Amino acid sequence: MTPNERKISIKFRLTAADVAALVAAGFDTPRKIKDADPEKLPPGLADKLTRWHEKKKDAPAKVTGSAGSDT
Amino acid sequence: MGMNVFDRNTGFAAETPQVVGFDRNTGIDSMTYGAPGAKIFYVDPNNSQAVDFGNLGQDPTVPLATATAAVALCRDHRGDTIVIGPNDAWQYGPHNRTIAIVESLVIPNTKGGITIRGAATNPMGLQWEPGDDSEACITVHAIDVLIEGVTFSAPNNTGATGIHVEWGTTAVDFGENLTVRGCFFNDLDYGITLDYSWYDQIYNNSFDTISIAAILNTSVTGDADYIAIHDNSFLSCALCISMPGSDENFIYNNRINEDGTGTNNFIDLTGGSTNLVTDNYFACTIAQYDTTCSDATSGAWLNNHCTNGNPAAPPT
Repeated sequence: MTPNERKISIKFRLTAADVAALVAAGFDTPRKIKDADPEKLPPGLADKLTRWHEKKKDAPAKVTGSAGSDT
Repeated sequence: MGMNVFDRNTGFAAETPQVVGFDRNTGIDSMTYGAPGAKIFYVDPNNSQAVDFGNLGQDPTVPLATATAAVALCRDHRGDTIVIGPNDAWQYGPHNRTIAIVESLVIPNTKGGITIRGAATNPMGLQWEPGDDSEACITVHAIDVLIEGVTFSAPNNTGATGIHVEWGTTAVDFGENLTVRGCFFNDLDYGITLDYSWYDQIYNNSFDTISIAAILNTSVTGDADYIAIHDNSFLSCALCISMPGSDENFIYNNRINEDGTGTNNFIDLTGGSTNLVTDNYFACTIAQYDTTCSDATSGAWLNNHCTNGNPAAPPT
């Protein structure tokens, strides 16, 4: 693996084969992988990257202004 | 000449004769440091003898004029150190040694493991300004770099950054495992910006009057992960620790004295995971903590302190 592929494998807990498939499909940075439409990822990779994609969906909206009492 | 013994975590020998040429006690005893064969290169533009070209830079009485020249002389992963002499260019200093370091220094990936150390007794005695608008004082593309004892300030420039560190997808950018300690960041757009850089240590720094973000995960290529950010203070920063999307960071014992009515302006880890945020001191109420920080899904938020007590729940 290249240094970049090694970092992707550590970051997303993926095998060398998984990383190679991602990079070959053009997903060669964590930014691109995290922003990817799961349907456009190589077969089987969407399930393995669920942690990050679920995170994106679940990020709570922030309330601006008063946050209530101080109790 | 003293032995090269380690003095706690500074790496410099204690209780030994000092080098001459910087007009004050530097705490540095010889021309070698740390690892066997490592070299010290001296930089002091206030020394009238300072010259770059043809100068080996190891005699403190005839220092180099620029940090750029010193970096060029450093060797990859040999433990080389650049020691920069003090100046008093700070806005209300006595202005006897007025020449600040004015450089947009780039540390290339071929210069891993070097240290840049200010020889002043505190960072305000070594002001470093960028070479131009919208530039960083130091851009780090190398691994294992240590920067300490410097004031980064841009009184004459706009859009400036103190330190930018980046790791790229090619072998060109390996900015990672950086240590920044004992530095002061003032009058900048950004203090420290991080792109896909891991394992950095950012501690014992002060951030004051930062118009956009003191510590920012730029996330152009990837997020800044596994970062330790501790014992820093923040005053008059629009955003303090802005690390949305970052994972596995340890953020503790920072002091944030900012606007309690802001949104995500204290610590922002929105979209991140497995972070640990503990024992930080916030100048906001428990209710404001819910809005100045974000958020509960990014990891564990434990035992943080607000003006009216410790929040029982993490911020949403």
